[in-house]
Amino acid sequence: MILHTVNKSPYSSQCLSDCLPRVAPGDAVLLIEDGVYGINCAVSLSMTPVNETILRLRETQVRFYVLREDIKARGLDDHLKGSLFKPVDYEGFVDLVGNADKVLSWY
Amino acid sequence: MNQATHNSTDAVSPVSTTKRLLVVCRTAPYGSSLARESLETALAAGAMGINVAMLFIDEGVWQLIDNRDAHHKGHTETGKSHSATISALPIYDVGPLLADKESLSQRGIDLGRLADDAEIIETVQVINILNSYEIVLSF
Repeated sequence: MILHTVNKSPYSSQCLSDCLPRVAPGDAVLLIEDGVYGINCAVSLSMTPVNETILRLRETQVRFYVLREDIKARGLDDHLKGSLFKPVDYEGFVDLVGNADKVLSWY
Repeated sequence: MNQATHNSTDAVSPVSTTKRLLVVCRTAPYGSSLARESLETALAAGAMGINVAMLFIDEGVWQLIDNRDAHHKGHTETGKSHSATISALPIYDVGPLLADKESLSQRGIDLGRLADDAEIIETVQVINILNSYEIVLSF
């Protein structure tokens, strides 16, 4: 199982859309740093292809997370509601890394 | 004494050679130092006897354009082009050099212009390749 970390906003970088096609069933995707701006890309109209990909990947047991500390730092707490990304704290981040065979950084 | 013997062994082979390394390249050459650093990492790993392969995806496929005769003054310390180093990789036991077909076609890159040792792979193979190597480093 690979943990994919994405640290750039999907509105300024291709990181997230480059990452998603390379995610295998059972993998995990974690938004960190400016990557957390992607928390609601799944509901934004301009990001429809990303939305569809995320929904399709969820059916193959791919898990989507977002780092809560980075969400808080950017004042995006209210965006968590209805998001397809589950918030994790630093401890959860460590657990994800520990449970993964390897970590792949998309930056 | 035993300790010293141990240390010298570690210096030769710090990583278990049974683990294979995949260097993932996602950036074009020259614009940043990442492409250069990915090659240096692969060469260093190869020199230490580590089984190392490279995967070129997204913007990384620009690195594979064969331009080895060009001199890029100021771009590298030696003035050598990026592709001169790419073409030297097999000498240092780095390989295969895998290139994502879709990334190439999206950028209109003529397959005939690629480095001789580049191996074109289908996009569906990328996931399997990422999973099959024990160590993956992303540049």
